Amino acid sequence: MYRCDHGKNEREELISIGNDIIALNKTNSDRTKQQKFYSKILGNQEIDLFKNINSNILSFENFVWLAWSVKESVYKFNKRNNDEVLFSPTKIIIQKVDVPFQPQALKFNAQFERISFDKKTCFCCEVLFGSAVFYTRTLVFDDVIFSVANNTNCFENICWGIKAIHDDSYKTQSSEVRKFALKKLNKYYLDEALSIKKTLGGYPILVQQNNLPISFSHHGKYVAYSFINYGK
Amino acid sequence: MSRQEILDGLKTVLGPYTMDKQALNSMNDETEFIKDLKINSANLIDIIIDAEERYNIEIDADSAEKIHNAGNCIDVIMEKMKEKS
Repeated sequence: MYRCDHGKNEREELISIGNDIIALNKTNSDRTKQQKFYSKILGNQEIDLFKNINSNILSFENFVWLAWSVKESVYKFNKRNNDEVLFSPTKIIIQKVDVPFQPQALKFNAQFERISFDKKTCFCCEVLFGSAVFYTRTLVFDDVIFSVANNTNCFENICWGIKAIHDDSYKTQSSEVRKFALKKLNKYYLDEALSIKKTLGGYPILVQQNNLPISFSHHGKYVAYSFINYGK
Repeated sequence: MSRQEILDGLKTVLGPYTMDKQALNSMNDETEFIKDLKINSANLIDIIIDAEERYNIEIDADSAEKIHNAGNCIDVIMEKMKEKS
């Protein structure tokens, strides 16, 4: 399992979390490959990064959506604490992509929950946003891509989960992701009636744990959560 | 082209991506794409490209980042149409 390595970019921990999920069957594969589409997400130096990745490990379409989910999760990490932040994908720059040690097509089966990420199976990115560096972990399944962002290169205490749901209406996505996260949170905080509320900016928090930040994402028939587990 | 005409055209652009058709029908300048129309952020690039094609304009990153509701989307479209004329 990957050990924490804060390295040169060690900073005071900013309490935040951001994730993003992409249901690949909800994307337009032909359009994704068109320059007019991907050039609104990727800069030239990021396209160069792809040239060093074996296309058997990651197709170009999946690279585009990996980049999108990485950038969106970094944006969400920052937006939670600064309402002025704007989302402009080409201004969030992926500087480095480490491919999994043991790349293989990951099969998604209904539900997946873990603490931390295994470098054998995940893509690790270093991302520049403004003058700050962020780090992400991404899992590429056969039908879904999921990323989590942090401002240190440590993901040891990050709990996350992905789940397939029965329909893709907004109401179902919203209620299912809350139920899914609360079920996991209740395993850590046993004796409390937990409730998830939203901040004024619209970001989920766990009220009973000093407004612990929780990140939700949904796309199509998939929902995902992530939060930091502080030593429980 | 008037603001109202662009607003009506924008409803056609947003139609395939919105999960709240009722909110789309009553859309005004203040209507937010993600919060009110329940559009998934993964469709934002599709919307920019569809708007570019509909109005024969190009929306750069600096302009695109300003777009989060119908009002500022119309502002950007009008600005780009003016630049082209």
